[in-house]
Amino acid sequence: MLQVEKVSKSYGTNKALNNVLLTIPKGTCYGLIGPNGSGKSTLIKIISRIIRSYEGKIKYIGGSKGTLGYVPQDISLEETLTARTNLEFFGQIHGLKGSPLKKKAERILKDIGLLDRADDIVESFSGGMKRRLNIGCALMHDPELIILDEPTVGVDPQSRRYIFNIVNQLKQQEKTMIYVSHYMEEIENLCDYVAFIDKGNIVEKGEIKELLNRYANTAVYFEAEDSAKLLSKENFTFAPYKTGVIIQTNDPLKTFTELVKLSRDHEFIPEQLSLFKPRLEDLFFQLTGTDLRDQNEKGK
Amino acid sequence: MWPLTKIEAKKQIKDKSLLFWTLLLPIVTIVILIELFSKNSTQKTLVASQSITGMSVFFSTFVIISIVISFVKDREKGMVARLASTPLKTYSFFLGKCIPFFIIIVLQILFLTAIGVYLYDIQITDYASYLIVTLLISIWLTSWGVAIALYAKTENTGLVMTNIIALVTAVTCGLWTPFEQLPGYLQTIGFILPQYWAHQGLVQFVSTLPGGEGLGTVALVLIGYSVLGFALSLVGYRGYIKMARS
Repeated sequence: MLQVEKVSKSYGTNKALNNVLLTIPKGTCYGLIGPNGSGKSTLIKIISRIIRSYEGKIKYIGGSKGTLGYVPQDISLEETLTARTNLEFFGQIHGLKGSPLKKKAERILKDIGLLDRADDIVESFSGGMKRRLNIGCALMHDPELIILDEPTVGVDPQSRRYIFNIVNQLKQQEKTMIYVSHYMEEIENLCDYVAFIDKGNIVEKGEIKELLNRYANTAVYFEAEDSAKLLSKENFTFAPYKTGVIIQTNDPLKTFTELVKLSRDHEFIPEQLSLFKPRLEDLFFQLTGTDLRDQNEKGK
Repeated sequence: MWPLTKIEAKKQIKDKSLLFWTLLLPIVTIVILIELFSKNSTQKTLVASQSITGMSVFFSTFVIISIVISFVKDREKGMVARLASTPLKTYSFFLGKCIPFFIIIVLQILFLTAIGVYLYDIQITDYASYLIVTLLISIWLTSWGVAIALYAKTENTGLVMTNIIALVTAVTCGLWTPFEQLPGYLQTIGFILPQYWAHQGLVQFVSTLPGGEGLGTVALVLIGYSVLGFALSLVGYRGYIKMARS
């Protein structure tokens, strides 16, 4: 388990992190989402012990520095050397040698799908292959905690799928993971927990299923021809969403009934009428306030 | 530390530009100089003695370019940050990266000297002392290379700085032409620069060349300049690490 206790970090007068509290349970995949400049990179660099000057505490319960594997967003590899040499290098840094080192490199090469390119120069690899090797290098010492910083940036669909398989394998091995990504469907599909970070603060966190449920029954999605015009006439409070509208409500069944009645009165069948189930992306915009700002701008 | 030394060495061995600067160009230059300025075998030995010792010091300076490129690339690619998350200590990182360059410089000087000894009959009077001077040259140049690398924003900084250092000192320290033949004002400038002492340190143990400075003084000067290089590195390393980890 990893505990982030009241961690703050400032760069001059700019507060990058403000009293961040997080508990990452053992064997879970924890997603970290935030806009650019929100402080998520600073947070994972603190957890990875790359940044060592900060306020607060990071507690690695049941683990030590040797059991941490960091996959940086940059492709940090020796590109003029082979995939095998890179893997062996990171293994050696963590004290592996001899036959166990060779065997481990061989297994990782297989896991990341690069066994047949093991002795090729990394420079000749595609972006996706480099990304997979970038992950492999962090797994050489069999770490307990793995931190993946945007591991699928700029990769082809095949490599992305391969990376998902690697993450799922690690989940099966009950590894603890922190997964940072701008692709929220990745977080939704791969992670058990999520934390939203904005302006250095954790604005929401918890189990993804629970968060989605909590936000799911508060709105109804309605789509019909000129739905916005129609609802305005009937004094509904709504917000445009995709090709329809979302109506915030405390009583979704009552809203359903009202919308069905409205459709009957105006003699049309709605194209879609459903309980609004937000995706992580919707939560993200709600929590970081972007939707609200956009709506205000439209309202003006 | 040793895994880093090994991987850095592998990287440098594969670097064709390093091979060009450390061996091919010096050998070609030395051969051309000997052929241009000597008519008989006695003259050849004399010119070879001057050009091999001079070019050893001159071309070993260019290793600084490789040091700067290596450190800047590691910073820019996130390798320094990545290694910070491993058990590798900061001092091991610096030592691990420096050792291959130190060895490259030593091997370069010894290889060029071997050419002189076997092909042009250069006489080395004291191999042990010659080796000591070579090791000191290598320590000093590595320290300067790291110092420049830690302050360099880009790889080009290293390229420009090294060229300035190499060319200015070549002219003023008697690496291209015998020091005694230089104008007085150039000799005065050369006298305060480490390249002069490095060259004179080697010359001291080549019987086929006149002049040279005593090992004690040469060692003192080169150690002094090495300390300066390491002190500058120590001041610059925090900025380098900070930039790499941000």
